[in-house]
Amino acid sequence: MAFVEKLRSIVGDKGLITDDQGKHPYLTDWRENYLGTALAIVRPATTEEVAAVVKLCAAEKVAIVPQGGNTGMSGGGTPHEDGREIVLSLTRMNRILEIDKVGYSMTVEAGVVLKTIQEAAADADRLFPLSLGAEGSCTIGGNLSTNAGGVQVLHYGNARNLVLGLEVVLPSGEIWNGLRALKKDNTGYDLRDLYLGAEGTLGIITKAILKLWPKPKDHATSWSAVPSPQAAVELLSSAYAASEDNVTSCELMGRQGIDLVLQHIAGTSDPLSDKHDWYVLMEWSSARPPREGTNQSNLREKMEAYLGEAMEKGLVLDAVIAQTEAQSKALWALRENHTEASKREGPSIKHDISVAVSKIPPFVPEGLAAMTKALPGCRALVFGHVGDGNLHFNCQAPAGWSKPQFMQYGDAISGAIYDLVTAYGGSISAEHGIGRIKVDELAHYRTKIELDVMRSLKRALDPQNLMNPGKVISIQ
Amino acid sequence: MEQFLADQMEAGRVLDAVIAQNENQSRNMWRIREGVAEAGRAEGPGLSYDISVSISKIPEFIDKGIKAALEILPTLRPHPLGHIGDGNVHFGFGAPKGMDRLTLQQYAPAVTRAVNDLITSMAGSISAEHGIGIEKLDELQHYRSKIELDTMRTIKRALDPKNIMNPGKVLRLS
Repeated sequence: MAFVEKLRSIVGDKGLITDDQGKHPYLTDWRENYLGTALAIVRPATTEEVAAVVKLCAAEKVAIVPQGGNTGMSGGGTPHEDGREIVLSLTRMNRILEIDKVGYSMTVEAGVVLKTIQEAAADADRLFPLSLGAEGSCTIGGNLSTNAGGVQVLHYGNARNLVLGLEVVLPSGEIWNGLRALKKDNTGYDLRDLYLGAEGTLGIITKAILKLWPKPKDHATSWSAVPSPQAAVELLSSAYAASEDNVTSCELMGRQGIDLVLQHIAGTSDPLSDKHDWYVLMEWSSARPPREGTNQSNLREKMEAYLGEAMEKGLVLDAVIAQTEAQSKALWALRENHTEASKREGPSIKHDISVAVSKIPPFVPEGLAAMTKALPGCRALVFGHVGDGNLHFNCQAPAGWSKPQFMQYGDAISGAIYDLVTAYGGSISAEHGIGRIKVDELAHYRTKIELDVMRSLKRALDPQNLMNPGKVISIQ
Repeated sequence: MEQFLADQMEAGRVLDAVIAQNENQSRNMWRIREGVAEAGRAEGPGLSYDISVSISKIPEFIDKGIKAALEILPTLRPHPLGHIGDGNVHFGFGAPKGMDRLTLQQYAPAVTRAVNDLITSMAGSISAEHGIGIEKLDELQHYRSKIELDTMRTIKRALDPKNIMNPGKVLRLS
């Protein structure tokens, strides 16, 4: 029987796509950097089907590219061009299996869309705190495989911190059932953490038990102009105590990005009357409901008092606090539209880096200088989750430049930024992972020891190199 | 907290309560909790299990676990306590009154087996905090699945091929 027919006998017609038009969306990445080919798109309905497909591929030596919502930034979910791979899509496995309100956990299949999980938690008066731009399309399996971050990492941690247990199909086709909703379990090596963030290169996540939190009942959003990244970091630092440890997001933005958003995105406006160089968007959230008519202040009042003090100290030059839900959304829109506005302005080179929070103030001017040296006239866009030390340190092409003209400077610009980040003990990929796009950078910037250990694990757990080969780390 | 406890008393979840009014009172409350281990030792020999289950299964586990243990030794004196917020119950028993340590030890393997079987059937952990070391090597071998043990051995062999890193702890290689 031909290989594709063997696949069909496992997943049925419903679980198989073989025609070119049907395959196409699964063969490109969201950023349109890659276009691959595949023997078939396989869409199992159950873990048992996933396992059978993997067993078959192991026997026939066909590599597997696991894929969720296909919203990744690094090409990790896209097959190569040479066509000896299948794409294994988890999107049909989209059931929420259990919500444990008392125990604060939720059991899901890997193909559930993140937004669906957020809504199911909210309906149960709980919170699943993972929140990122692609949440309407990305699936939880992909979020966990890439250790997704988002805007609330500051308070809740990244995807790794949100998981109690996993079910994973191993490269042999065996099913590891690690679905134990335990906060404490010291029985041997932590296998769960092998697969979180491994980008599908060690196994395929098929189910997860997620942690839940109490649902926030009160929140406050502020937009502050600050004199410098140093002021932003200090503002955040003292906000933890002032908010009674309720800071859930803190985003830094430079003026250039704001200007692009105001220019390209309809319905946006500057919340402040004067132009400033740096802005901080801060969100506080609490499970305590605001109390009307008593002396206990809700978060908005606390934030007002706090920002007043910050202005007196010169940490804040001007600020507004959202008085309504609509105003809060409008402030967040200024941050959320940075990527789209940049896209509309023209080509840009993007970096997703992180350094320790206290090193952001010295890093920013050095980074700006390095980019300008590599390309005078480069327009720097600095924005991101400053509370996590994670900045998108991007270079917008000079006005009017074409993409090919601009991309000639790509290596120089990125090399300068990554060299600086490494000198600062930082990360060349804070959130977006390695996928395919940064395999060479990983090999260059991680130490030999680190790469050797990673390769040892990869070779030991996937000796045939069938799990998303050529992603993250190359086996040489 | 006052308001919360009042609401919970109305709902019948709390029968009676006090809230510490000063640091001293707070310390006294904690001393009762922290003194359990010492008091237990002073009372006599005992058995203790460092297990965890998912939080919502704690009541079921305590109920079934005590039943299972008393079936083996009806005069065991259960005193479960622990970090219920983590699902980690220090599932402890005092020896029957007057029983000495050596006699109690004869019953220990059967009680241990019963408790661990129950925990495993409830997707819990046989060692919540204290780890495996050498003491729980056999239990780990018995209670973790073959796939899990194979994966752990694969990692161990790949990272420590000469087996010089604390050999004979946690995992049996052969």
